[in-house]
Amino acid sequence: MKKLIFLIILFPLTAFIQEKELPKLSVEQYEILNKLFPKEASFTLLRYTSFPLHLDYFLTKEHFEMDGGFCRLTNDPFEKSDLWDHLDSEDFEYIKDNISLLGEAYELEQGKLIYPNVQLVDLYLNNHIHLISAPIIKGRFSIIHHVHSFIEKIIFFEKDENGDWDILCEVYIKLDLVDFGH
Amino acid sequence: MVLILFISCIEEPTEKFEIPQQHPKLAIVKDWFETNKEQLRIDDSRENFSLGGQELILPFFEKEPDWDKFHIYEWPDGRIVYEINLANKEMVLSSEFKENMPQANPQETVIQNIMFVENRENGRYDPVIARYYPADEYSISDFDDISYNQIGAGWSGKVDLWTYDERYFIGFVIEDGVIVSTAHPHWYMDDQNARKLPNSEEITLTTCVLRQTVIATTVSTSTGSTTTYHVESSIWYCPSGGGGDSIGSSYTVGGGSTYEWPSESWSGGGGSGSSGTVSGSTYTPPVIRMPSVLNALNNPCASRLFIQSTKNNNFNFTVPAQIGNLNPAIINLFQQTTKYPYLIKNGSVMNINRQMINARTTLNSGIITVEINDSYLNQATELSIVRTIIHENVHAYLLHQSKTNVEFAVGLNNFAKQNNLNNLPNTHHELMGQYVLGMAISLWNWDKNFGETKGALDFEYYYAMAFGGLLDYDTKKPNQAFQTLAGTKVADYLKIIENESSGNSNAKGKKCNQ
Repeated sequence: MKKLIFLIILFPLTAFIQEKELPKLSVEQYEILNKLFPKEASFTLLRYTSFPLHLDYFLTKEHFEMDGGFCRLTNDPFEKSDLWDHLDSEDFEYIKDNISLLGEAYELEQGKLIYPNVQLVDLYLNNHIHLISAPIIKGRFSIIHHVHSFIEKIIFFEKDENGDWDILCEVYIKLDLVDFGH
Repeated sequence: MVLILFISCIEEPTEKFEIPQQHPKLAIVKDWFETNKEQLRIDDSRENFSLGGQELILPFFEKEPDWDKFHIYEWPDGRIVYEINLANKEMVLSSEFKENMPQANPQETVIQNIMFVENRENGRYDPVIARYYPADEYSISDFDDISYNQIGAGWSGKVDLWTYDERYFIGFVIEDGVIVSTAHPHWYMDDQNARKLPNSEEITLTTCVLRQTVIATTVSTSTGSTTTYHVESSIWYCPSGGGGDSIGSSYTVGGGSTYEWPSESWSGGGGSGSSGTVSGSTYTPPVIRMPSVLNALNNPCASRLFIQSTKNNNFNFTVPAQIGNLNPAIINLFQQTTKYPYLIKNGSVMNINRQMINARTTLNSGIITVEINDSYLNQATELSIVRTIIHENVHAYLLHQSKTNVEFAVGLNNFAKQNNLNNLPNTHHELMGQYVLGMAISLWNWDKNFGETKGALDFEYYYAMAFGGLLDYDTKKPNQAFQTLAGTKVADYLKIIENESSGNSNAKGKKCNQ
């Protein structure tokens, strides 16, 4: 009985500590996250964000050129090989130089996401689950790291003159179009 | 290795042909070549036929490009290559060619081109000579059908590159579109470690070979022809010592390898360190990349199926391709394009969540790569494997278009948004609904010409097979396009796909490994 009482006391305390330890995303970060997927898409998302340490390795002009293709597909597209010049700014320099330090784990709050068909899960138990980083924002640029099964990419966001965030470019780190048998 | 310099006199045509309008950039290359060609020869090779210093140098002959016959393409590093057919009557032949095709007329079978590789840094166009020796009658190609950047899946033969002043540079033996060995001049072995790229998976096996070089000069006139021969022998490189040249036999996996002529400072040990002065800067032959070949399938059955599936391109390709033989048209597109080379290979593709992965298409170091799983090749029927090849090639096509055509990229993005698709595989597979009929026709076309059932199956069987892989990325259940197009027959179609994929007793096709 004593053991049970101890556990009843300990469990909410532990949960409280965990909750306190994880910072919350800002309103602006949610604005960006809410542009990441089509609104009506059905998907499963890990509740906790994470940031890989190796990401700066891919933030190079050479990698952008190697991936190839186009950026800003919604308005005035340009070649991905020109992305480096487009990003050229102190803000991007700051993100690039400090990305390993800036990457913290956050807890996502379902109520602040606009996706009606998203399911947040606590554990990464299979490859169907989308794993994202918290948006790192500096000035008018933001980047997110996104992993889904055999696909890994960096998504660049840019704030327009009206202060709205939109996807600037998607640069793939890994792109395997896998076809399953039965 | 025997090399023969073949010279013949062919009567000049009396008819005058209209000269096609030249490519504007080609005119610049032509002007540059005419201005600088005297400086492209290396001093020590101006004496005819020198084998001194163990380097293989053929007698020099002035190159006569036929500027109306050209290929223009871009290498992945951005250098533009202008490959021009040589109109010369002189032709260098290899002993392998004479052994493989003793009756062949070299003028009609061997293609001899000059490649001008753009050198932006120094504002020039560095030339190398490319020679294509077919290994069999099936590989005899017209100029338009083959270039260094466009070697087809079924081509077998040897591609040799020489410097402008006829020093041996690099050679590739190709069987059914696969590079099976690479031949190097002697200096390569001495310096190969320094020159090997970090990502190169090249394994070099050195053999000790006696080389015999025969230079035959044939002059034909109206009264007959005379041929003179000059034979030289030298020892190829031996691992245990001895001088001479070397030949490396290597198998290269993947792409990305480049080959560089040694610099002047490195020229010891019998190497020439060729250099001259062109437009005020030191001239060296360009860095050469591997030729673009398509087929690296080392499973003989899969390789055969791939080659067969690329044949019979008798239909016009329309986008979206709802009719026509889709698969050969896609491969033809890759043979003509240069930005993203295409490679197909087999291997061990990782299983995930206990589900078999049949195949995958990736963009890997600038190469669109299709990979077929070995275990799938071992169990599936030929019909299923061809179906998978076609499916992956549609991925390759969509990937290529989204990387090179901005309107296509925007359209694909809009398609994903409108259909609430949150990843690229799902976007491709939904869009593939528009290609199902084209894929079915390609499959039927293969079966009709090469398959066990000779195209005699009900067309709906091929149509059902064409839905293979149109699954949701996460749930692995038929996607919206599959459900909409197949209607009440989804389960029937899945069963057909499964039977052929697993090669069970209900399959109509025969297994690939039988």
